[in-house]
Amino acid sequence: MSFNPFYILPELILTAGGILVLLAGLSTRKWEAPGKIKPYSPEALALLTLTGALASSLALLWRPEVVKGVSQFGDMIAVDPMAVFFKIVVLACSIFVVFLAADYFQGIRVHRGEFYALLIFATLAASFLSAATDLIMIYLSLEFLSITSYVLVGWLKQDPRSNEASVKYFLYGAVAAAVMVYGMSIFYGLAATTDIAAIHSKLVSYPPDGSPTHIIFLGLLMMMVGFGFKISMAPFHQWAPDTYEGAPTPVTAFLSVASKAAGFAVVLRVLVSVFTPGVVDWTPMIVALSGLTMTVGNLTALPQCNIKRMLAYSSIAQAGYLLLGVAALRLSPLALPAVMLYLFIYLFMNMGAFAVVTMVSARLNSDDIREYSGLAKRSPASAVAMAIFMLSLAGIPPAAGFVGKFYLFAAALQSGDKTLLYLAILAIANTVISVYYYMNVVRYMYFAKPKSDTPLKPSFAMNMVVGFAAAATIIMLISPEPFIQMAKHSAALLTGTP
Amino acid sequence: MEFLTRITELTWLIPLLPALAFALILLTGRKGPGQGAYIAVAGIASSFVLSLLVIAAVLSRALHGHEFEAFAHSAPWMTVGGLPIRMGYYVDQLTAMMLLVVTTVAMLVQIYSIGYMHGDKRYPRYFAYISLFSAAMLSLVIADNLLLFFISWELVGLTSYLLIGFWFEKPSAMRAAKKAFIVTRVGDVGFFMGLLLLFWYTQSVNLREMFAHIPAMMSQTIFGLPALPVAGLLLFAGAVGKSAQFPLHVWLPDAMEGPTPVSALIHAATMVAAGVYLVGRMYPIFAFEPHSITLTVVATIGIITALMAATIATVQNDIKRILAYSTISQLGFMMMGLGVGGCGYTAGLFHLMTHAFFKANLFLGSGSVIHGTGTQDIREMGGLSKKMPYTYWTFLIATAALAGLPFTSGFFSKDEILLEAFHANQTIFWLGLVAAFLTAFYMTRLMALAFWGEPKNKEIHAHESPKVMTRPLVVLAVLSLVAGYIGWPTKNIFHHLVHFGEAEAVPFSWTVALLATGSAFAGIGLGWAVFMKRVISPSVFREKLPWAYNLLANKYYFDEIYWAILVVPLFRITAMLNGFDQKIVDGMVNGVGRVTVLMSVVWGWFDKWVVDGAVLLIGAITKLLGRLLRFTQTGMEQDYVLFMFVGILMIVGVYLLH
Repeated sequence: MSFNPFYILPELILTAGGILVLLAGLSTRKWEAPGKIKPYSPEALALLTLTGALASSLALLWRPEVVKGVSQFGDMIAVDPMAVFFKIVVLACSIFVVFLAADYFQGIRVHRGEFYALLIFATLAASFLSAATDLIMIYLSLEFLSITSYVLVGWLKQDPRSNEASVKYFLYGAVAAAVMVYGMSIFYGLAATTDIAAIHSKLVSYPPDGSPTHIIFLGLLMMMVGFGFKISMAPFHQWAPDTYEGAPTPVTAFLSVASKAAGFAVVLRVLVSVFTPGVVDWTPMIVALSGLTMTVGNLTALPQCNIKRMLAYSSIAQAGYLLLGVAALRLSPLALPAVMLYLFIYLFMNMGAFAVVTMVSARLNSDDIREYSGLAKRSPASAVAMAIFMLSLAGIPPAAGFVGKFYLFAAALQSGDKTLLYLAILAIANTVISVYYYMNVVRYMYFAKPKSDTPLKPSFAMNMVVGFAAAATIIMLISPEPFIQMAKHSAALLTGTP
Repeated sequence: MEFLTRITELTWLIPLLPALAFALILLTGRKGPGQGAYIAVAGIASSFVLSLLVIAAVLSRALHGHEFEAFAHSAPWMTVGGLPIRMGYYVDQLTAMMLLVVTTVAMLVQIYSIGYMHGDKRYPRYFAYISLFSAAMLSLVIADNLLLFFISWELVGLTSYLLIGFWFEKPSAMRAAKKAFIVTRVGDVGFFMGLLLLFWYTQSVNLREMFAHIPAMMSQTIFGLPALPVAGLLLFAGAVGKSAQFPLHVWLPDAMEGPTPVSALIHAATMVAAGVYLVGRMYPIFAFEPHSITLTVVATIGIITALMAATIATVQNDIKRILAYSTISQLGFMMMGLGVGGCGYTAGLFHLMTHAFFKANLFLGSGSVIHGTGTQDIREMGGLSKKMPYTYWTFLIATAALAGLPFTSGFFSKDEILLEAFHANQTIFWLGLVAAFLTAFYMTRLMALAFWGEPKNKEIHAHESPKVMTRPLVVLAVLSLVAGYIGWPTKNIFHHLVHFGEAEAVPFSWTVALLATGSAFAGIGLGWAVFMKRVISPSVFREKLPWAYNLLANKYYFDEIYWAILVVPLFRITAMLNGFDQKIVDGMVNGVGRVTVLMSVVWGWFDKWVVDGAVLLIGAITKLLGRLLRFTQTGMEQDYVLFMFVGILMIVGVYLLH
């Protein structure tokens, strides 16, 4: 397929917009972030860029050529509904992040232009990662995403915790990427190509008894180290709590949603298109890792006192639930839409939670859960919204997280597979554990005496963002059908069908 | 007739009106009419009127001799793997009965709360929560599918949580709220798994479609077990949690930390009865064959709970806790009724209705007592009958109903349960008689200590509560007396309305009626002898059988056992896992400290030697980076990477072992 700029319009907009924001940042004299979004500021330009990219992605999603799937750059990237769907998630997340950052950096001396430019480039990397269909492209965009993220994590230069977080993230990421590249080299060695469709056709061409199954498994496992690092899958999750805690909160939000979503996109694409039945059976491995991830995440989240650290473990646990859907990919046609639907819901509930955390930490200068005491009194609207997000993350009705979990568990059951059924039971038991730490936040907000009665006043923009996320979380329960349809429509890949 | 049919099409408004009241109170706050209380009462009163019309529609059809046709309306909600799920409401005789019970009690409790909560600093919030509760409870009642049922079920749990912890200044209230939420969640996991299982086998969550698939499900197995009983028992786990049945009953007595009207509405009359309603609603899943294994479990759990809670109630001293254990015990009775099969279905649900009235009456009465005396300990009360006449007489009537004295509502419903048990299972019947005897005994003890005799604490000057509180008591007392007559043994209207299958009511039996009445009178007699006449010393039990007394006073040590075998080990594991990570964090914090010190030194140098600062700075930065890198290398990052490789090797190992 020849090159057509329309198909990569979101990426083009992001590239151009990122450079413009960088330039605009140079001309921003005032260092101190004002705490609100002014016209002609880097924030406004970043929002414009991201919204433009989001609009062009939405325009792509229902195009008939895209539904069939288009390749660009010599089969390096795919423009198919799945890639576009993940781009939408990533872009929506970045739009949230801009609002969060504008609030978070108020009164702090930071290079705003560069921050938003890097955020846009990280978004660009994540959208390439969601579409990559070539091992080289996967590696490049994953590293692109990682390196921009390392810088963003260490953005608060004066804060040693932020520096530490960045260094830890970097070192861990470097090793994980090295292992992943080693895995990729195994497939290049086997197939003499880096195109995943070509690798697949080579792998299936082996006679059943002559297939180098062990080597294939080893290569897959090594690649999963790199991917698992991105989605914070146990046992490759240990960087996450430290990094999430130290990073500026908007960046933590970006890592927990956009970075994770892009990671899931590549996991889904590689597992579905390369490792089809007959090549290697990865289901038991994913089942085990899913169970491990959700259990470790939930159990360790229990004693946390820092809300960002708690949300870090929570996001590990959420990755575990999503992996339940990944594990069911082969056996249930419901699994892929279920994973995508859950990610979409997760986008709103998790970004909403981080928006409240940003609001509180920008005003109280602390991430201690005890600081949420009496939030119901100090900022009633934020407390209601936060309660909705916590319920949703715990999968308790009446919030959309319940629909997402219902779908995931239904997919596991639909497979009719016994191990998946056990895994679903483990997941449901895990949700009970998670109730404890999610409701702990609600308990502090509603049932604890505030240290001071001064109201916290979120800015208008923050109120809108939190309100929007909360409304979306409720609406997706009351009327989930359009979102289900979107997930279903998007569960189509260029190569291979689940 | 035509009008009434039309009205039933507005059933969806019944939960919506309190929900609207909730939103309005949130918006208006203290500025709303009656600080929000009037909005709440107006909302629930409109629902009550609508419910009356719905039951009138049901009755008018029933009296015309038609078999009432359930009506349902639904709208598309979502599709799951090609299966459409619709959301809507479903009205049959059972729904109509529940609607009336819930709206009546909720309305009276909210009127009563105007007086009881007067002067509370979170007054509007109270009415907002209780309106939200009413909305959720009513949508649970009319749900036409199990998913909506579950969503409402969780929502009532959430509002219950918020209301138990309403007076969060008391740490015990906060703990009780948390305990209630988490213990019931354990049961809800079962409910949710049951729901998924049923959805999987029947390809639907709609109640009627599910029931239609039951014959096909009969032959299915899961893990080698028949699927239908497994699904039924999982659903029942949810009911066990919500209705505080053994072994998940531990949350309900603690839930008494909430305001007393909340205890009356949520923890006596409606929400805790939702578990019984769930079993009633899903009865075809339970009673797929007479005396199915599922029903046996339901009956067994029911009778264990009824007996266990009744024994505990005999030694409690907190008026609300006595009533809480009594509620647990009566819910056990209802489960027992549903479990014995046949017309036990009708009997159990009939008892749900009568119990809602007399237990709400008792709780509101106890609230009036607490309001008037300022204590909850019955040992400090006494002689209240003269000082609080309205409270006393209404409490007395409700006590008579709870004890099952003839011609009160409790007599008819309890007698019906025992009658069914008598024909189904003699063991359960005799144990039920014992529980009935104990019920009469502990209620007589309560009456004797609180209302009769002489005041024990001279400090307390009891006074009667305001009219806004006593009027609802009078209405409930009347209902406690007369509500039973629709279940008159020879012309049982209730049975005509609410019954399962074609089971014919077992004919009235004088044996059972006399035994039941006899046991009630025996309990009263013993209570009278011990606590009024002092023929037997009240402390004889404590002195002669101290171990048994302690066992009861400590509620069979359920809390302690759960703490030791569940809570402590769980927290050990989490502490262990956290320590694993925390060690790393500590290392990091120390490192950060070192870096900070170093940085301040660096900046000190910078200030000191500005001239050749640049040279020094380069050196310092190099040193800093060296420190930083050395820290991350000798520090814990190494461990992370080590764990990464250990993880890889373990996965490879597991793979090779397979």
